[in-house]
Amino acid sequence: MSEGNGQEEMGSIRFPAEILSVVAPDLSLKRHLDLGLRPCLRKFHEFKNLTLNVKSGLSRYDGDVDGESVTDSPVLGSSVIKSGNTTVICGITGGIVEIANVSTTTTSDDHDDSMEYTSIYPVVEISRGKLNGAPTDEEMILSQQLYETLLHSKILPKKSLIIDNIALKTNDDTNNNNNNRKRYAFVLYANIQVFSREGPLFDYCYGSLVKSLQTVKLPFIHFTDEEFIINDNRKNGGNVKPEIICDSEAYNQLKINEENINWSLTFGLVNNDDGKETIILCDLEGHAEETCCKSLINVIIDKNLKMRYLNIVGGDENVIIDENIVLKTVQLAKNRVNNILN
Amino acid sequence: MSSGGSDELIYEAKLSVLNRVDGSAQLSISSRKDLDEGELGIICSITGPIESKARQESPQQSNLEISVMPHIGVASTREKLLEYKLKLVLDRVIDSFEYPRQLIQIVLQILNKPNYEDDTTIGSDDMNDFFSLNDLNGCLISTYLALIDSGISMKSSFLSSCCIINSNNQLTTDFNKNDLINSKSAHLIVYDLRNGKCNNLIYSESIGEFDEQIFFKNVLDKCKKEIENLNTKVIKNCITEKFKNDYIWKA
Repeated sequence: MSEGNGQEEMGSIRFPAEILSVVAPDLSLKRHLDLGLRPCLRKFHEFKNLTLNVKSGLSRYDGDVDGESVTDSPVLGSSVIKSGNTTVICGITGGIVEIANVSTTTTSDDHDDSMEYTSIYPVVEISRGKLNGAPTDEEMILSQQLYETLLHSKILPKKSLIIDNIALKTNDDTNNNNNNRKRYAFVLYANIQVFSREGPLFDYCYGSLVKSLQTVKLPFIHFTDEEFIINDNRKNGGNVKPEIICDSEAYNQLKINEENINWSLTFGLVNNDDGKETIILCDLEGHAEETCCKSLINVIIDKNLKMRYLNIVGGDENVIIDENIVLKTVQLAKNRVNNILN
Repeated sequence: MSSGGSDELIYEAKLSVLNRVDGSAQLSISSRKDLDEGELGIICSITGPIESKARQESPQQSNLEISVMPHIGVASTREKLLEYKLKLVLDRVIDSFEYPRQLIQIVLQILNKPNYEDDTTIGSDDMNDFFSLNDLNGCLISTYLALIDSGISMKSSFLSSCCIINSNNQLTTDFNKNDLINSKSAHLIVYDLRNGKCNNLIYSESIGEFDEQIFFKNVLDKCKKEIENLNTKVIKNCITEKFKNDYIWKA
């Protein structure tokens, strides 16, 4: 600026691509699309490279990994997904709860097949380089979405979590109180850590959750001999609580419904300049794509390439979502899932 | 109170039920087949456009703050997810550039749910709670009515509908808790309306096993019919009634 003549010289400002994508995400996306590329330099239908690791050595029954045994680990199953800069680590831990008696479960009126499935309680933590505070909205929404999606996918049958292999010691010789016996079941929790957040987070979290679930090994349970006394009629005081010990070597593989194993994929829809053609973008990544693609399609496809979930968000009024676009997206998803799962 | 509906469902709607907010609506949806089932009741209030906190302010458009309150207890992550889904739809329909640096608060209270049993037996999940499509459907319709009552500018009208494909492969919009749990697939469809007809698909969510052809041929057609029915038989009457009341002193 020159003070002398009172006029301002307006020069153009140049931003590097990554700064422009934050300052003006819509402009950045448009300029890339005009070149036939995306801000992450992938092609429109190109998926992100994905590395899956289910032998991460974090789990209790993984055996010796690098000479170190992890038999005291509470983790029952784990997996690590890496894609681009993003790393998602999922560890599944468990707890034991008392469940309703056999007699009441079987005579229940509501008894039917669909209620025989359950889910995992997931907690997602996205690392942002600061001390962990209360969970953010994004983390809560992701956790709840994971819970509901897994439940509706019918992957985890309730009966696989019921503990039926405990060595019991009873003080009742007649054994006639079998129906009143307390029963126990596992509940599973998943702790999902996300580092370098980027890309379609739900897809990666869901993928790591399903992959970890396939590796879950439930511990063999011992109730300490002297203390575990089945004592429902409370003859002897009734306050004796069993002490639960999980075996460090013996385990049972968790039985899951392998047929229903599925994979989630998210696509973004944008309109190019003349508004005639809708472009499908696979695996949205980066600030420009995440903020500007308001029309989204999320598809979950199972092993047999059947659709299990479809979510269409038409957030952008310039993008008209018709049958062709959805069918094209579903076909892209099916091809990708076929590569990943089969 | 305007009521009416399709062959399968009865809708009852009333606008301006709360007098200290800018817009409000009460909606109930019940089954025509089984009146003992109870109804889904939702009340929605809208305050805005009002001054927003500096933290929430965006320079060019208004901000939305949505809270959903469950019919029992306090809001949990389930309601957070509902709020998120509602926001996806409302961001598209509310003309947010009309109210820069302002805040629009939307509060939804679920009053009652059909066939709800407060089941506290150990180990029994209330599965109904994890099928939130029905609640989302009610929330969307009541928010639309409350938005009209509040006079907030919208880019388009919108309405939603919910249906299931049951184990006999029948498509129905009238279903109870058990039908939902045993259904093959459940669908929620939101359309924007132009001249009383469904125009563009704004939002859809489908859970369960289904194929694309059934979705496009049967599900969308059924929901379109239900939405257009709802619009002509209930919503229009409800809005006419509101305007009559608003201009009661004019004649």
